Amino acid sequence: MIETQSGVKGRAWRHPTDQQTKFFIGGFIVLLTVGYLIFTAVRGATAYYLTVEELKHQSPSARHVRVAGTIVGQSIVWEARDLTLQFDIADQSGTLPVVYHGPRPDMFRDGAEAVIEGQYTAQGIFQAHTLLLKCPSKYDEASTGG
Amino acid sequence: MAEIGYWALVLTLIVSAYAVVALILGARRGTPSWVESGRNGVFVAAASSTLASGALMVLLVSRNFGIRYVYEHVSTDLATAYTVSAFWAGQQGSLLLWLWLLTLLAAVMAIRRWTGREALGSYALAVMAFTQAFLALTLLLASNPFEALPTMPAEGQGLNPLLENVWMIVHPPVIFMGYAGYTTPFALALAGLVSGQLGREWVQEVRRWALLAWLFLGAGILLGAWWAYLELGWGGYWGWDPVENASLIPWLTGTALLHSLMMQQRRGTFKVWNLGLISLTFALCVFATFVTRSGIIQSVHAFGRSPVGYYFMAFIALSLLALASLLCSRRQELSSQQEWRSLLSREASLLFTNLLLGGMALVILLGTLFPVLTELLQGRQAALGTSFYERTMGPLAQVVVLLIGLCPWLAWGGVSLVRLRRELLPSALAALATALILLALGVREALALLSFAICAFVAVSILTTFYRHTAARRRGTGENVLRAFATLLSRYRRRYGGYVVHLGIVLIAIGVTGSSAYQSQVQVALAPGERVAFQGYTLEYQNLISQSTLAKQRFAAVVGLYRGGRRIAMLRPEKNFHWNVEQWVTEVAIHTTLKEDLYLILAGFEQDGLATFQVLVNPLVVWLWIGGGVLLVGGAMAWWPSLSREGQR
Repeated sequence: MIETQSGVKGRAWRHPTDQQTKFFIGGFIVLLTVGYLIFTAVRGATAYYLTVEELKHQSPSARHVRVAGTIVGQSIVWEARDLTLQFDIADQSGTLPVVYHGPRPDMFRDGAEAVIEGQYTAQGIFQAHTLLLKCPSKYDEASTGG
Repeated sequence: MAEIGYWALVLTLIVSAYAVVALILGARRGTPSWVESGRNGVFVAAASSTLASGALMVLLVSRNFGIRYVYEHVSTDLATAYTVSAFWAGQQGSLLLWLWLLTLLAAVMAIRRWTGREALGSYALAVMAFTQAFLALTLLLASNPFEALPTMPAEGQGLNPLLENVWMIVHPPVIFMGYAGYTTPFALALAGLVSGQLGREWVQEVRRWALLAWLFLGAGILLGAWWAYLELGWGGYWGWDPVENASLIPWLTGTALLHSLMMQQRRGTFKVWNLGLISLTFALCVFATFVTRSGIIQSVHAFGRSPVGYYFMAFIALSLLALASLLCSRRQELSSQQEWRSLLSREASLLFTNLLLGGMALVILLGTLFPVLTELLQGRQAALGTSFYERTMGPLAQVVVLLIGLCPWLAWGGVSLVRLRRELLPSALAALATALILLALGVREALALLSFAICAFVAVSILTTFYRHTAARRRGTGENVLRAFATLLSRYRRRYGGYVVHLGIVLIAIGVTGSSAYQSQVQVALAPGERVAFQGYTLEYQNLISQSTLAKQRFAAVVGLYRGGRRIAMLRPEKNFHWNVEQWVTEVAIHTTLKEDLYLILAGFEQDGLATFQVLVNPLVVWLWIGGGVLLVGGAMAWWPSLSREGQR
């Protein structure tokens, strides 16, 4: 390694030496990389929250969206054999039929608040990839910590 | 009992507030009697908050349903161990726990003699006492755990069955100990700025407390992940949920802090950076509580909206403002000249570790706040899926792990490239060999290959360091291998503790890579007596057991697990209906080996005995827990007070 004189004492502003420039560039590259990773990952992973009405006014697309609503009890059809869950969720603006493939979540029942993420298909059915449920209000604070 | 608890809280508030005033006055005027009186205030606060916590504990264990908090979290049939853990099952209890731990930490600080650094100790205690007063006030005004119900209910609502797990008894106190623990470095930061005593001893003091808090926070995060894996029944351990994220962010900045503190200790630089990082970590700990309490972010952990969040936001703002103004007034004394010479130096690797860890913390913070940010900027909420975290954290974590491999060979001031190349040759060869072997075994995913190769590189790098140092000592002293190694470990605890932590990180990286890249699953519906083969295992569903207890209706499927024609385990995944919450709770069954976990979920069953299972194979997941254990042991080693001066190096 070539030693340069960078250890000049004194409080006055010093021009960065060649060695210091390397560090600035290195730090800049790290920050740039983090920024780039965030930028590209955000584009692929963003899912907007839509109401049922907004969703129905959209044309079907492969874009991921999220819809929050209440599960309508009478609409639940659970096929245990092939793990298919069909149900409607409702918000103030309307009702939306949903299909979800996977185990039936424990908290899944009439009146439970659900957030679904997935695509709105051409048949007017929402194909959910993820199904998140909130605890019933009685247990608002039941789950704490990390 | 409730009155005792309430008035004990009031007393905690009063004496804490008094201690703040007495300690600051005493330190400013240099009157030991005031300082002494303030310290006594800290002791009284610790005693009275202990009394308040004891009162809540007694109310919970005696199942006094006349108190709202007891009514909401305990029922008659709940096991006594869980009535104790109900203490931290809700917001009010959690805050009280935080206050209690904080007062105990303050008392430990007050016992210490701050000879020669009286001002530093007094101001630090004053900041601790101020935080105590803030928490006590929040409890009394907005979140009273001792609130009585107008009538006495006959039965309580009971605990959320998901929290009835051994790890849920320990996870919250441990994580709150981490949060409370970061108050001490913050108090020392403010006190150091006010008193001007920011020298070498200050760094050592901060490091000790920061390391302790880091250990607890890390242990808490691990326990939380373990609980999620065992109890939540979706086959994973980390879901990038806001509440999980909120605890990981301060841990990452806290990790950065431990590294940059080393810079200050060895080189006298990074002073402002460290002060900022300490405060940021503390603010992020408070923020973690704020996130979970304010309801500003949609989370699977459902929380009621509560004004407590806004108290916390005000407190964060106040803390950061105090630090910023003190930094401004002291900026002349804090300037330092860093001699940046070589990119191949310990300094450089620590700097880049700091930047990368900070970047990771920023990524998670951004992801967590994304719904709030999009609502502010675009008027509509959007959320980020887990792919966001996988695509950002994956690469960043790999670079950090790679740096860990370079760490033992980079000297302060720099090493030559030629020498570094020679010393890293075994590690590089190990990485190459690992990649080739995995390729030959049929691993084709580029990222996973890279990740395992990096892990091999780092592991061999650390182990050769151990070997070299042990060999050098043997040459010098003639001791046998074990003795030489043991002496090194105990003599240079800080350095070797650090290496052990790094080794733990490598094991965690192996576990995370294996379980995230190669998880496989299948869903099957089986009638009793039917079999299914999956990933070299055969599962035979025998029958369904039904059993009624006071708390629940229990349904357990009995499944024989076979491998190579031999039965290796009987698994009993359950699906139980809990009466108190009128809800199903799934209990998974797991068969663990060093190679992989077989994770069996009973997804549903019908009257005729037909049962649906979800079977997952999670490769290497056990290494995550082993690595976590290694990390904690290493951290404890580094923290353990060293007896000899040599150990400080």
